Amino acid sequence: MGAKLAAYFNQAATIGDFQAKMKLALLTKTTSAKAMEVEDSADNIAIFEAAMKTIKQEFGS
Amino acid sequence: MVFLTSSSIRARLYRGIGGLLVLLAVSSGLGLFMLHNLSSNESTLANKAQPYLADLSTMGVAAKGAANDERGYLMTGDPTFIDEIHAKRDAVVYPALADAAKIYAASSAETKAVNSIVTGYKKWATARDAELKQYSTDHKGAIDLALGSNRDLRKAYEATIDEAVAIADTGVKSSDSSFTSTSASATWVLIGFLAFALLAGVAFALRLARWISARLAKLTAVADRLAVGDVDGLEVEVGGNDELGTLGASMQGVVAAFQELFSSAKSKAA
Repeated sequence: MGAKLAAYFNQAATIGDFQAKMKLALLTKTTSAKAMEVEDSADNIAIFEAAMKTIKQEFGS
Repeated sequence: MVFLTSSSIRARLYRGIGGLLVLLAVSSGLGLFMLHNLSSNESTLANKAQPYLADLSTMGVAAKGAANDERGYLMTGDPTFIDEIHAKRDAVVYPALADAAKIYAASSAETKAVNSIVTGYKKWATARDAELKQYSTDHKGAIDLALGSNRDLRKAYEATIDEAVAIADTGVKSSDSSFTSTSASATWVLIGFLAFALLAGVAFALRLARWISARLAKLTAVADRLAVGDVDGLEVEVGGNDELGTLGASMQGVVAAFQELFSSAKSKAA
């Protein structure tokens, strides 16, 4: 439960370190801790994917 | 059209205030309509019933004067009375009746009553003139006529005056009753609409104020905790599709970012 979503935080950290993780939390309105608890639903994954797209553009990955 | 379905605060305000304005416009329109009815009622009284009764009154006084002059002549033989009858009585009676006949429609009961008076008065005036002429040669015969058939003719046209006045009185009473009834209806309808608008306005204002202030209080509480860095377990519990809902969602992002920041800082410190 939430493993996929939590993985996005690791991915963000790889791309832009701590700043990217904060940005992901800001855009998804979810913390990495909470991401572990929520369901890896299609809707949630879509939100994280959109946020990651923004992060990749912003942090140049 | 968007404002009809949107759930934004602005749209709700537009709908609420717009609804109240519509209520006020409807009540004002009804008020104007009823005022128009009252005015129309008053106009009927002022332009028809009152002049009609005034003409009948003028005619009745002049006709009474003619009857008195008739008696005066028969008692004294003074020809001045005859001059008075023609110059001051008949000259007033006929124009007054002509005026009265123009006030209402030709087919109306009022005009028919006036026509009856004209017919009756003419009959009496013709008989009266013949009687006064007879007086110079036959005193007794003229007096007999005055107290007999001519008196009956006078009583007949006087009865038609009474009938015409009764018809006018009925109209005035009906008009007065209609005025009172319309006035009372207008008052209650306006009071009802205004009371409803007032209650609806107060209910709308209270509901909107509660709805906005309760959610603003939640957002303020979140902002207060953010301001002192107390973000542990902090949640923004303000939803909805309006401006405050959007603000709540944005604040939730900020809260999550702060929580992530604090969590990372703690991890590094450990």
